[in-house]
Amino acid sequence: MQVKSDEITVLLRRLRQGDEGAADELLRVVYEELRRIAHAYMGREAAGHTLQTTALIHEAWLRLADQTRLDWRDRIHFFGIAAQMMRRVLVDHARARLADKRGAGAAQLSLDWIEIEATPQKLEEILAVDEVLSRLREFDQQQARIVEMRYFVGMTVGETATVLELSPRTVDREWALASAWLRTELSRKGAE
Amino acid sequence: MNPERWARIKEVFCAALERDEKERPDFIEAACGSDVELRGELELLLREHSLAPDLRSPVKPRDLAGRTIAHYRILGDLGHGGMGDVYRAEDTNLSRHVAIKVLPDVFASDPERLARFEREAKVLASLSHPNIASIYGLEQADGKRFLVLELVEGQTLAQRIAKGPLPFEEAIGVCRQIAEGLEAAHEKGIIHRDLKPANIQITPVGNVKILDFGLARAFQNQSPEVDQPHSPTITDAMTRPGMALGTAAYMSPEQARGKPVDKRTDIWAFGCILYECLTGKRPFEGETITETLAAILKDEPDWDALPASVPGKASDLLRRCMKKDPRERLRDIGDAAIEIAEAGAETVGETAVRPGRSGIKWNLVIPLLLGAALIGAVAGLLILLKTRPSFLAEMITKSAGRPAPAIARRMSIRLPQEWPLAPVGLAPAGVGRPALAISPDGLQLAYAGEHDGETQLYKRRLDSMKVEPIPGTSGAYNPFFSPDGKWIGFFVGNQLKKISTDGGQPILLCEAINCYGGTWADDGKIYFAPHEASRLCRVSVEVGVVETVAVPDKSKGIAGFWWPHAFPGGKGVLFRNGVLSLPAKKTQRLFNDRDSSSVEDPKYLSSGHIVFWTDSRLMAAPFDLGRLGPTGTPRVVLEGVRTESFGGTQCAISDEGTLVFVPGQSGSVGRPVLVNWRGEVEVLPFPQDRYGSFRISPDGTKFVVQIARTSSQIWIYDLVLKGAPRRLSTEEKEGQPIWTPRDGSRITFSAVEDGSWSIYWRPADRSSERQRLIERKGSFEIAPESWSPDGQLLSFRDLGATDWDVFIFNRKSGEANAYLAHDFNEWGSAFSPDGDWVAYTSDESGDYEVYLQQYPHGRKVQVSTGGGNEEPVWSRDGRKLFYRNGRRWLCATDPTNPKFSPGDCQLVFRGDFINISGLDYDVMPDGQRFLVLQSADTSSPGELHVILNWFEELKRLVPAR
Repeated sequence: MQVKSDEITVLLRRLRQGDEGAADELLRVVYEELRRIAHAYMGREAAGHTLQTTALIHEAWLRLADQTRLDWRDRIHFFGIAAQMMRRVLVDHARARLADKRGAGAAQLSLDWIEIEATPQKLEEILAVDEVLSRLREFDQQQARIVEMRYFVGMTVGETATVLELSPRTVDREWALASAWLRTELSRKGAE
Repeated sequence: MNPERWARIKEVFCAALERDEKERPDFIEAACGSDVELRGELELLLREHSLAPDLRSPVKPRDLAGRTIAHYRILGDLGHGGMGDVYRAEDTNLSRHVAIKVLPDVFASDPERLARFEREAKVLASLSHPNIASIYGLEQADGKRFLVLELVEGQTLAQRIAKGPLPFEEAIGVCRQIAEGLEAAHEKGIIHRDLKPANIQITPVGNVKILDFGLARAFQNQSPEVDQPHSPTITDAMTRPGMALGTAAYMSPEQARGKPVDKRTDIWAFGCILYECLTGKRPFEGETITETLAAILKDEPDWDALPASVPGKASDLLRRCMKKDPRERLRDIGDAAIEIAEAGAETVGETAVRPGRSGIKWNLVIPLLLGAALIGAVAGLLILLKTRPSFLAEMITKSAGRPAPAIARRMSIRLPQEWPLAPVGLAPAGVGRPALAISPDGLQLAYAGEHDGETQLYKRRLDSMKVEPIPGTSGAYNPFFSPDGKWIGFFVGNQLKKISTDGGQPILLCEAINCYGGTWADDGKIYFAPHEASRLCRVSVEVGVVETVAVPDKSKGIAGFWWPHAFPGGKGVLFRNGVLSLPAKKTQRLFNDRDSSSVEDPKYLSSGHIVFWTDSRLMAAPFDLGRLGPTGTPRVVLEGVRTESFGGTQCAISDEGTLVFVPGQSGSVGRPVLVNWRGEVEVLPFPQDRYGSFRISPDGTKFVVQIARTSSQIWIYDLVLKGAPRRLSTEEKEGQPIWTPRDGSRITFSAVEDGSWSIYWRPADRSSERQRLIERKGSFEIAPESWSPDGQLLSFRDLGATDWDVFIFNRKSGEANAYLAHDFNEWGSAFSPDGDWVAYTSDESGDYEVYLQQYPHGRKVQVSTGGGNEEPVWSRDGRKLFYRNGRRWLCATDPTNPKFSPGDCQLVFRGDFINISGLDYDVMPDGQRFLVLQSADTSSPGELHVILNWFEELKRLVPAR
C-alpha cells in the first residue's frame, strides 16, 4: 500500500480543526504501514531471522518519510503524530507481552502478528522509559518529542532535526540532557 | 520540576558539554554559585552523561543490580546489547573486579546453541594476550548462564574518537596494540568478526584491549561455518537502536555479502579503525544499514580526508587493509606492524619539514614505530615521548635540584624482541621472582631478560636508547640496585652476587639457597631471604660474612621473610606483611587485619608511603618512618600489573618517583589443564581460579584441590562429567588434600585453627564430618603427603623452626614419628605403589634433588642431578618416577634398579605451568597425561610501562602526612 499524501494532508487539516476522528485515521495509516513492513520482514523470518521492535518501527518510519510528500508544516505535524503513535504502539505491545507472560490482558494495538525478539527486560525498559517520559513532557515538550523520535522511533539526530526544524546540534544537546535526566530518573525508580 | 529551573539546568548543562571533561567541575561550581542543589543536580546529570551519553544503549537494570549470582556481586551496569547484558561485578572469591555478561534467556534455553557456545567459549578462553580482554570462564547459577570476563577500565576507542581525530603517533600507538592482539588471536585461528572502535578499550594508562573476541561467532544462531547474510551482526545491529549503523559500518565486503570470512575480515575492520582514528570519521557511512552496506561494497573511502601529516606509507597500508577483494588485501596483520614502522621511517625524512598537527617531533615517534616493527635488535630499548623532548631535560633539571613539572606522565618501553623479560620459569624451581629493577635516581633500568632459554641481566640508561647485556650475569634473576646506583645485586642459582654498573666481573658475596628477594640497605649490607624465605639474613657487601637477623616467630604471626625491602637510613627491613626494626632486630606484623598473602612485596617510598600488592593491584598507605607503621588505610593506586605465583611483582619504583612495571595480571590465577608427553595442552572446562595443591583420585575420574580464595577450602572436580565442582570443606582454612589409596573413599587434608595445625580426613562423599588424625601444636605448617598402599602409614611434611621434615603417622599406634628429619629441607614424600620405597625432595646437597629411600631404612638412591628438582610422583605401575624441574618435567625409569645411575632421566614435556607451594601436578592413571595449572597470563613480557612523576599521582590518591 502506498501512503497517500493527500489523504494525510486532509486528515491533518481535520485534526487541526478539532476533529478527533482524524487522529484515529492517522493512527490507522501509521499502523497499516507498520503491518505492511512487518509482513515484509515475515518473509525474511522464514530464513530464520527475527527483528526487534524498535528496528521495525524505525524502518516503518523511514518508509513513511520516503513515501509521504507533504508540505513542511504538515510534515512536522504528521511526523510528530506518527512518532507519538509509534510510541503508543510500542508501549502497548510491551504491556501486552508482559501481561501475557503474567497471564492477563491483550493489546489494543497489537503487534502480535509478527514474531518479535524482545526480552522481558527490554519490554520493561520500554514501559519504564514511557512512564518517566510523561513526566518530562510536563516541563519540556520539545525534549519529550526528541526522546520519542530518538528512543521509540529510532530516528537519527539528522532525521529528528529535519522533522522538528532544529539544528542537529540542538537536537544532540537536548538529547544528551534528556538521556541523562531520564537515566537518573530510571535509576531512582529502579532503586525504589 | 518547574520550567524556569529546567531552562537553567539546560543552559549550564549544554555549556558544560562544550568544555573539556576535566574543566567541567570548576565550570559547574562557578556557574551554580551558592545554589548547591542546582550544582548537585548538574553533577548527577553530567556523571550520568559520561557513563552513557545515550539513553538507548544501557538503562539501569533493575533485576540484577545489587544482587549476587554465584560468587559474583553485581556492582553496576556496563552495557546492554544483543549479546546480553554486561555488568561490573566483584568476584568475591578472588577479590577482583570482573565483567560478567549474562546470556539472553532465549539463548540460554536453547541447548544446542548453548552447547556450541560453550565449545566456542572454551577456545576463546585459551586466548591470553595483553591486548585482548580475557575470558575467565562460562558459569551457571540461578538459572542464568554468564560469561566471566576481564574487566577493563577506561574508555572505548569510540569514545576517544568522539572527541576528535587522534594525533598520528597516538593513532599508531593504539593501532599497533590492536594489531598485536589480532596477530596473537589469528595465530590461534581465532577471528574477531566484529572489530570496531566500540569493542576497543583504552585503559587509563594507555593499554589497548580488544573486547568480545570471537563472541560474534559464538553467539551466532547459524551453523558456525559461514556468516549468513543479514546475520548475526546485522541482526545484532538491528536489535540495538542507534547501534545499527555503528556495527554495519565496519563489516567487510565479504561479510556484507554473507560470504565466508577469514582473518582478512578483521584486517578490513582494522583498516576502518585506523582510518577513523586518523580522520575522526568512518570510512563508510550511510543513512541506513542498507546504504552503509552498499557504500562498503561500492565506494572508496574519502582518502583526501587523511590529514596531510599522515605519511605516505601509512596511507598505503590503509589502502591495502581496505581492498574490497580479500585476495588483494593485506594477508597478515603482523605485516601491519611492519608497515606502520616503515611509515614512521618515512616521516623521518620529512621530519624537519612538517611537524604534525600537535607539534610532534617525528624523530621522537620513530623509536616507538621501530619498536613496533619488532626491529628491536637495531633499535634497542626505545621509548615514546608523547609530546616533547623534555624527558632528558626533565631528568637533568631534577638532578640539578630544580623543581620539575609535577605531572605524572605515562609511556611505554618496548624491550628488544630477542631479549624479552625472562619468563618466570627460569628462576629456581620455576617460581617467578621480580625481574625488574630501577636505580634510586630513576636513571638506570636493569632487568633479567631471556635469550635462547638462558637468563641474563640487561641494562638501559633512561637517558639513552641502548639496551646492553651485562656480561658475566648468565643465569641471573631478581636484580636490585645499590642505594648509590653504582652496583646491581642479583642471584644466580644458589649464590648472591654483585656487579658494578660500569662493567667488570661479578663478585660472589655468599651462598644464598632458594632465595625470595634481596635488598641493598644504606648500612652497606644486603638483606635476603634464603631457604624458602624461612630466615632473613644479611651479608656485608665488602666482607661477605653472612648473619641471620631474624627467624620466624609464631607468636607474632611471622612465618617467613619473602621480598625484603630496606628502609632508608638503616632503620630496618620490610617484608611480606612484616617489619624488622634495626638495630633492635625486632619483628612485627605490618597489618594485623590483613592476610600475609595480601601484603606482598611491600616497599617504602620517599613520598612517605608504603606500597604493597594484593593480587595484581598495588595498594598504598601513608607510613610513619619513626615508628615503622602505617598511619592510614591502604587504597588501590594501580591495577593490571604482572605478579608471580609466590607474590613477587614485576614492578620497580625509584626514589624520585618513576614507576616501571610489566602490564599483566596475577600469576597465581589459572586453570587446570591436561598436558601429554608431546606437550599438547587440553583445556578443561573449569573456570580460572586460585587453584592450590591438588591430587587425582586413584581411579582417575576426579581431582581434589585446595582453592585458595579469601580463605582456603577443598573442592572435588569431576574429570569425566566435568560438571560443577563439589565442595568438601565445611570449615575455613583447609588445604593440601590427598586421597586415601585404592578406593579413594576419603580425603586427608591439613587444617589450621587458632594458629594450630592438624591433619584431618573426611569421606569424599561427605557422608560424615571431618575427623582429626594428627595434631601438631608447635608446627608452623603441616601437610599430608602420601598414604602407604595398605592405608596404614601416612607421611606428612612438617615445617619446624627452620626447615621442612617428613614424619610418618601410624594409624594403628596413633603416633607420628620423624622419618626424614635432618638439618635441611625434606618434603614431597611419596610411597611407591608397592610400599617398599619413599621418594622425596631434599636440599641436602645444597640444592633440591629427588631421592629414594627404601622403607624404612634400607638403600638410598639419588634420582636427579643438577639442582632445582622436586615433587616426585610415581607412575601407577611403580616403574617410573616423574619429577619437576621448573618448566621441565622429567622421568626416571626403574630408579630402584641397582643399575640406575643418578640423572639418568628423560624429558617428558616442558611448559610454563604454575608452581605453587605444595603439589602442583599429578599423573593420570594412564601415565600419558598430566594435570597441571596453566596461568591466566602466559604472554612473554615484551613491553614495560613507565610512569614518570608517579608520586604526584600517588599523593593525590593517598595523601601522606
